Amino acid sequence: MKKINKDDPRFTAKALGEQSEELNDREIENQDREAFEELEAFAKSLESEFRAEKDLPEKLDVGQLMALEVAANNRGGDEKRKLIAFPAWTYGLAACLAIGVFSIVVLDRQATEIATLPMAPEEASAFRSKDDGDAIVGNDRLRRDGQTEGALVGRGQAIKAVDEAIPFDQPADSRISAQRREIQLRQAEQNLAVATGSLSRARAEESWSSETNESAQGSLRQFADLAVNAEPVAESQLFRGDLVADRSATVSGIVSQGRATPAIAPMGEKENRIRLASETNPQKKAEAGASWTDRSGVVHPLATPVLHQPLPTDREGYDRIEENEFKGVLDNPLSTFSIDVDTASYANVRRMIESGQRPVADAVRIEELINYFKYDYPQPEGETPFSVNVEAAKAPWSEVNQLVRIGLQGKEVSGEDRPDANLVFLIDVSGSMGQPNKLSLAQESMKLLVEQMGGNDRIAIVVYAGSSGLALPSTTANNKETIRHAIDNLRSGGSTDGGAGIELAYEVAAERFIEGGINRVILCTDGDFNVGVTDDGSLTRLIEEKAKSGVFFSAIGFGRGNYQDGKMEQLSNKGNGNYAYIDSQQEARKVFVDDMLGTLHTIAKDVKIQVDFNPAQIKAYRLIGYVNRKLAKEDFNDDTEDAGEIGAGRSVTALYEIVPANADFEIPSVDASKYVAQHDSSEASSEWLTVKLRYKAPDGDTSQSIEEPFTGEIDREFDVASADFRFASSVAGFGMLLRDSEYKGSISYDRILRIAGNARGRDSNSLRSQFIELVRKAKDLPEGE
Amino acid sequence: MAEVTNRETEWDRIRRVVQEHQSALIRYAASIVGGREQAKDIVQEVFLKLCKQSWRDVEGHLVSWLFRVTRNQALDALRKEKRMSLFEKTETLEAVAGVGEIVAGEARKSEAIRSLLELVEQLPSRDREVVTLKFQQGLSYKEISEVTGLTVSNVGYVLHHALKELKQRWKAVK
Repeated sequence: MKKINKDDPRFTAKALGEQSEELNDREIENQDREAFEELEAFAKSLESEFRAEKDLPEKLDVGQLMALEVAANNRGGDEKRKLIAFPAWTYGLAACLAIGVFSIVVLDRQATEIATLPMAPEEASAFRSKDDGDAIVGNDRLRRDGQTEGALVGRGQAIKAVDEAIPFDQPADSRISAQRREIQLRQAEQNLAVATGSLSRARAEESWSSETNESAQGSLRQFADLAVNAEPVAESQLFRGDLVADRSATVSGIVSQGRATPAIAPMGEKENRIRLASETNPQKKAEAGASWTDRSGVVHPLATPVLHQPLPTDREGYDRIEENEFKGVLDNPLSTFSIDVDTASYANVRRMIESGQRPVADAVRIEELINYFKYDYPQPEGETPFSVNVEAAKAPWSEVNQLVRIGLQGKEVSGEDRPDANLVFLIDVSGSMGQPNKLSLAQESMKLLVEQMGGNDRIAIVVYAGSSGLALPSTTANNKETIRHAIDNLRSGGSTDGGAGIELAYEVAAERFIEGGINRVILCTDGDFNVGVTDDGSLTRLIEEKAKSGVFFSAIGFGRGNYQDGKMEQLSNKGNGNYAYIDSQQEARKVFVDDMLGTLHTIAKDVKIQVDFNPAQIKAYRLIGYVNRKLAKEDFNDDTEDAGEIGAGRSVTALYEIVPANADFEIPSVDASKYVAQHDSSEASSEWLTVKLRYKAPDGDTSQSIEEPFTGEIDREFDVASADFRFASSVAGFGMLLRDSEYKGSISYDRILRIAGNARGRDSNSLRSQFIELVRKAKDLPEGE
Repeated sequence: MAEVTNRETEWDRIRRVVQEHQSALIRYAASIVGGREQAKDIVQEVFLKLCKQSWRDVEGHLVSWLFRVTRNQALDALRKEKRMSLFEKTETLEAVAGVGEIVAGEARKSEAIRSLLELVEQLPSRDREVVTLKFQQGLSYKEISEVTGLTVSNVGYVLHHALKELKQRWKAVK
């Protein structure tokens, strides 16, 4: 027999137990016997080391599995009608939940009603269908049942997930990684549906004990994580170190409308407001004379060390919000402001609450909280781009005061009528963007958007970090694969200093400018916006100038800790754009899928509202929120004055708190002019107020106006007002509580919960249910910490 | 595509494959790209590809098919990263989230070697790959050849030398 020696690769092959005729025919040289045995032993130990590693099995996420499931089932036959089959382990999961929920249900006096809900696992697929009345009704019944509410953790998210079930005509794999979270939620819903029905336990238990046991337990763990804490903000402070690039100057000197706003108050302490020592040079003040007062009343100078304290939010910048005061109608019959469709503040506030922190008062912009929600205002008639809807009732936090709501509803534009879009994403890929929920979320968000875009739409990506560059030249949206690749390829690294980032973005946008289309630069960042143009002033001017050329600017904020809220808002305002904050996959979906193309499709710009109050009926008024949107009364008719935009299908809501003329209320006003004619209430109109609007067509230069006198009932009980009215009021109340507003009156978390709970309405996207969850969480936050 | 019966849906079949191989594939992908989360994405892609594949095409060599596709996907991902030379790759995601990442190549050189696996990680990438496929996944020479595109005798050569190297280094460490 032929021999092999230890230098022959076949020697190793034989030691590794490789089987072949060739090897079987060979024998080891005698002098190499020992080496052979040694090698065999070595191979064994190597194998066993790898095996030890194997004892910690790696698994795909539940969401990934669900995505695979969709793909697998789409493979056979009719894709559109085919529904997802539930793998055995979902039954296992269901069993666990069923047992948990069952015990609660049994204790519930309405147990019988719930137990009879028709929700067998086989029917759970009905939950996927938006139109399926039964399933939704079932949920509604549960929702209304306050006692079971606490038990159904994560219910809000789950229900939302149902409403947003993936259309099955989409290629299943194309949206997968972006929808992983969505799918997890849907899965949660399925499980809840099965569990609440507490049915088929026998069947479930049977599956539970099957070979999939292990996998089900894994899934259960993940599900538990998901349900208990839908958006765990697990950012460590590890990366604070690399953020120490000295940006304190920027932080301390955000100048907004001629007013220094160094808002570095440590998180959650509204008393920690920055007081300005002098009123002269705003920039100087911020650097030299500013101080803040802590809760014990000690005044600290606002020196650099304060800025560098490693507090989790110490680099977040918020513009100071000084709430609107009551104004006497006699002195100021006209109240003028620009609309604001932004919603960023809500997501930002939610992020803080969910991470267990009381939101910084200046991060709470009440109008953005209110406008986060959809209200059921009627569509406009005729050529007008929006409808105006005024309603009034008693304020829930006052015995005397009334609330007047002004709701604008932008005209819906169907997908085909939407003009083509030319979007240039300007993405911050600095090192800090590598943290969870930043770049990764931006990438997923963009992918979601790409799915919504049509073949004539274009998208380009410009990145900035240590250097800036074109990551994706302007590409038509039908090249989805190319675009997705480019998006996937984005990596974070480097410090923020974008060189010509923003100029490049505008250049790309201008090259592919679509006449009459949506031309927009969209900034995605987690913080400092150092895109080459360094000082705020010239950046603002650049953006303003480009907006005039037809390329608008939007900002989308991600992450936390280094977040320049005030600046982002200001820039997007100047750029005729929108500003959103994204803290979760779900929010990404709302902003990029539900809202973006509509939002980007501006149907009217420079929309201003002026309310003319009748002193015969109203003594004083206070605009809730819109603090930095106030305009001088002269600005209303001044067409050069910039104001907010409204996108297709969007609604805007503003609330006024008014004091009736007969109320016992001291107006904190200046002395009345002795020349102003005394009004005679006997001759006065019975109208309460008139709402006037001015707006321009998206490409127009001259404004048109609408006037809408309000003669409706005003002094009516809060409870008889529409659900939308009551809900918006509860959101306003929530904002005032978070700000610890001096106008909060008798409002309390419990009252807000009651109002919102009764005013949920249809809540098709379950945002309102989530709001209620959020209020609960806020209520449990430790006071002042 | 074969008819899907009520008894065994497409998903049932895929799921069995997933359950059996996911762990090995994720590990394998991670050994190439370095990050565990990215590895999971890659493996998900692989299974998605499997969903589109006809069973007939993969029957008989499913394992090597899975590994080969995983390998290609992972290498693609790696290449793309390299092309994005503008930005250095940082696995901050994992580091921040505290996910145990699999550090490939150089990273651990400075640390004291405690196990054979750490030595394996220091091998040149081709050697490391073949060794991993052999000892972690238990693939035969022929399967490794199908996955990597090396000839069977090439695989033998690589393994022979890699093991020799490993053995020597291991002795030196001890």
